[in-house]
Amino acid sequence: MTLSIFVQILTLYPIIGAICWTIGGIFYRTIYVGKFLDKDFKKIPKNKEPMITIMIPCHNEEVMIEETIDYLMHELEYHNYEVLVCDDGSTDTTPEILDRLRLKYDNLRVLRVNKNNGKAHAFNIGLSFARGEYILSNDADTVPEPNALQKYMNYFLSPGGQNTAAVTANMDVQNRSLLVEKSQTVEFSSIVGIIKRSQMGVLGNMYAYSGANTMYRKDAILDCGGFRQDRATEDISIAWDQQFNGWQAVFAPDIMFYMNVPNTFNMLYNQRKRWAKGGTEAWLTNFKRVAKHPIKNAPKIVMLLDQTGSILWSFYYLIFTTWLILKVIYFVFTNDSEQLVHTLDMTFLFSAFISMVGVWQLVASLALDNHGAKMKYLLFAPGYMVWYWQMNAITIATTFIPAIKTVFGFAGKGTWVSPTRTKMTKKGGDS
Amino acid sequence: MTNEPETTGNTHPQPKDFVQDNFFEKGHWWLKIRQVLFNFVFLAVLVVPIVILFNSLSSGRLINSFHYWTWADGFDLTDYLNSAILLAFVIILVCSLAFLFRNNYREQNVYPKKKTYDAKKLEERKAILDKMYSERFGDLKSRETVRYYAVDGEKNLPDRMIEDLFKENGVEIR
Repeated sequence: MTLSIFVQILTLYPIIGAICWTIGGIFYRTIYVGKFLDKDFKKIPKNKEPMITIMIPCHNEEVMIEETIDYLMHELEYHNYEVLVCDDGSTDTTPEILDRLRLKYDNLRVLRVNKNNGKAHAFNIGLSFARGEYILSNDADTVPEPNALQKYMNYFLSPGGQNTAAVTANMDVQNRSLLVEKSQTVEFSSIVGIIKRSQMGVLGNMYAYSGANTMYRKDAILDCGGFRQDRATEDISIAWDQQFNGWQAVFAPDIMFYMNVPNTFNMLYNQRKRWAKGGTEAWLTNFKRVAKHPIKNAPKIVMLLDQTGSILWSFYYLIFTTWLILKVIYFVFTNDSEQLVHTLDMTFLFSAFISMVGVWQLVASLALDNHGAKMKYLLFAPGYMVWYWQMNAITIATTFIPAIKTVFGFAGKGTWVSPTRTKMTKKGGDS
Repeated sequence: MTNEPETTGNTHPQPKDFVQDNFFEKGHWWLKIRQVLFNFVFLAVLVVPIVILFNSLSSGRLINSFHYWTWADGFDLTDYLNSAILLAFVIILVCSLAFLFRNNYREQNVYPKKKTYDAKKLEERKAILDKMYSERFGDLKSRETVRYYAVDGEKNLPDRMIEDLFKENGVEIR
């Protein structure tokens, strides 16, 4: 009986997830009281601006770094800030570019880590050099909108902001020409947009920050002993660590930042493998901590149950799909057309329900995100819905064992490799 | 700049230069044709099962010439999925509302009124970290003013060093 219910819930996991996120997203918009509306953002006078350190961890970023720094130096509507680049053992011309830019900008500082040791490590050293009481983690291929710092500070300076550990912004895709890029544009609205709204509004907790652009309170990072250096995704682990220490994590959908996303399947697959591994690591690390105080941690239990469903469903889906393919091949070879048609009909029936619920979630999320500015990308949703499933399931399954090794201390040392970048303002060419 | 607060919420449109999609620009016809064709195939993968489902539920009356099934277990599965989705919807709605009210209470009555983190432990942890950083990279003043600093390999921070430092000093993170 219990097993039967468990299997039913697991089978329906994608549908249950879509219902949860859609209801959560709508509740965030309508009943949740903690969100900021456009009219709530107040301009902070120049003499009252808290000091911010924009920290850019980078490794071999010669294509993007100058453009990003130029933008940060000229376009932001904020005055009291510095840019601290943590160059983690770059072997290209990044150090020369930074030397030149340091002469140009007084508020640019450079920390060179000679032996490449990963983003979290570079951050942990950078923290000790940062003058700001707030730290903006800003990837080298990422820029926030011009008034982002003002908006970020509004969250921290609000009455409830005293407990805010970090505010993570809403990611938007800069390069959207190719189909693989369009799929990510749709995904960041549906996944990042509606799931984070839902976690924020209903649970008051967040599963992960967007490490590419998140404003941290420096104290709240130090309170956790910095970022975990042995994890695949420092932005997932720090989110959990801060919340366990009593801090509040905040998602700010109205702070936009623009990012260059992977534009080949290989790059995307590698990025997703890293994310999946980081997710599984967080799952393994936090289960025990949550179980110690289940009532107090009820919202975190919901997030861990979701993650559990996601991991189990990935294996279930891959095993079921393999079994289905073998069954179809068998019926083809035994010329059993009735069983073949029956199997395909039943499979299509189930996929029809998943598709309908998926479309419902996508419409809701695109409508909620960025005031509906991305509704036109609904046109490209089918591509996203068809092939992303497979990739997410495969990445979770293939990184499961490596994640276990990391959490239990059997993994090797992690360094980082930046994906191939393209210039943000590059125009023309269908590539 | 005046001291009078003014809104900063909606003063900027999206920075146009940063969003690039040739599909919605003039020209790029090959890209447009290619993407429309690919998208059409993906759309078919999604839509065909839905059409078959509704065609079957209406016994082929929706599109006469299109495939439809008459399996008894197909109707059973459809009924089951309908009921399961409805039940899931109701349960999720009720649970979400309960969590939401808890969350709204914390937003209004907890976060603005008291510190939810351990301020004493925070100060102790900061002092431990400052000591470690000063030993490795120089005192706070020099660290915060230097414009270029290179960290040699032997000064890198071992992975679990800070965790162990906290443990040794009785401010372990649990």
